[in-house]
Amino acid sequence: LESEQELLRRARALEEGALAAIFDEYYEAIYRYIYHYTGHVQSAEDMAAEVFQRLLEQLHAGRGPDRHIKAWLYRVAHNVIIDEARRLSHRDHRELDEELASAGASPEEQTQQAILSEQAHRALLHLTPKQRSVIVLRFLEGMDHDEIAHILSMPVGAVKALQHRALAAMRRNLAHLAG
Amino acid sequence: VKQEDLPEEVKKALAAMKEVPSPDPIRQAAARQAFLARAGQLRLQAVSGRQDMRHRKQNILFRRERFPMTTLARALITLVLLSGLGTGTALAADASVPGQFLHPLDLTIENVQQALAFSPAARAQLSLRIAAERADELMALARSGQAIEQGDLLRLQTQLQTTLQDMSQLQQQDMLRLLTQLRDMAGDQAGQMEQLRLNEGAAIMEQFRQQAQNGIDDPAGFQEQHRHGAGWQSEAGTPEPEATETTEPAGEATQEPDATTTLEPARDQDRQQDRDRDQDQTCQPGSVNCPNVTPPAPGGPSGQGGGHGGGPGGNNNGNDD
Repeated sequence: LESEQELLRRARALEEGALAAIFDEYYEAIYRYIYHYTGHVQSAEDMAAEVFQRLLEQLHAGRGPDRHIKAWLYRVAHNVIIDEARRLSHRDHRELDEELASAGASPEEQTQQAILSEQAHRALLHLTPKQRSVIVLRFLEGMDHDEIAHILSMPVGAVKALQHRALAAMRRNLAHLAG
Repeated sequence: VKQEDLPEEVKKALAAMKEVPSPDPIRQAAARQAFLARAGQLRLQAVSGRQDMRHRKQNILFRRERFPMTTLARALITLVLLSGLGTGTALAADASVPGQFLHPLDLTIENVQQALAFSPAARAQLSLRIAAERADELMALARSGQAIEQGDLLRLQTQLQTTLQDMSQLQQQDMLRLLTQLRDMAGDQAGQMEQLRLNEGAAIMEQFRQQAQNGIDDPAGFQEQHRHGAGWQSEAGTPEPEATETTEPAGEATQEPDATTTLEPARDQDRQQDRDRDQDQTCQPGSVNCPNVTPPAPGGPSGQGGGHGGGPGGNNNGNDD
């Protein structure tokens, strides 16, 4: 990517090239982040598209990211997830996708992997939204505490404490699901 | 804690989750196309309204297209100059915060701008900008360690209420666009206020973020709710906070309104529940925090029936911990 500041300047002017570059660079990361919450491909795709629509509206209104595009997009993704959760809170839950069968694995291994993956997702989905975020961002997306603090609008110390509690809760949920 | 130091079962679970199915390339391409097409639409909007009107706004003196807001700004500056104040004063007033000498002038200029707004959409957009400014002022006060007074909070709340009322007068497409902006702006500023420990301000922003979200979810209901009796200017020049949001009996209505008492009590309760839940490290049944999940088993760590019954009054955006 070109310098982020330059890219942002062009994006604020709604230049197609800059916006396309931002979409191509971050769409899949945002999709992946949302998928960890929803466990559903199509919902994750729709919500990722919504994140980028919100980016446009904010840029058009003279707001949006001032420096870090990536952190801003993750923060909006977090908000989109919360909004969607509220909207769907009265509906039945949706089944997790079963598209994760590893190519080349035996049917038994695939079944085992599918069970483990589903249990892991369920354990994750029973955490609070911020606990989920810190687990996903830290251990699945590989971000450091500073980046996570920026995304979640929290002090770094609070992120570390949240991570500690999230891991403990995750461990308990997994033990319960296994038992 | 590093990944390699994690307990074995957590490490295994994380490894199982790392594999994510790729997005459908056709849907991804469609999303990209829609994104860029929307950008194109917004670019056109940024130029001006109807194309055939643009040339009419040019004349010998004004070769370039004139924007109504530019004309308005000129008129305002002229007004300020005629009233014996310099433009520097007007600009300084705009940057002032509550308690400063020039802040009342800032409020007056904003009132004039609102009164002169040339269309309902422009008025609503202006209201939104002023609301953002009120919130920024509170944060500026908090950053400089100055006390936040109830009047400052009330002013923010009143401005946000005005903004909702102005938006409710618009065509649905414009209304939804501005409601989306309000929702995102309020969510963003609520997070920043929480970081500054400006909890009352954050609660107000969160309250209006939720109202904007409700408007997006049910535009007709929103217009119905805010249009009735929502003459956008009350006798005092600004509308009172919604009566439905107060819990005070009618007999106490003559008392000076207190910004903190007009907040939904349930919201504070929700915030406290969120904190409690996080400390317990589990979700509660029926909470929006466990939205789409079937409980692992009866008596499990998150109880039973998770994923049902979360109400719209929840307050999760940045308040989970």
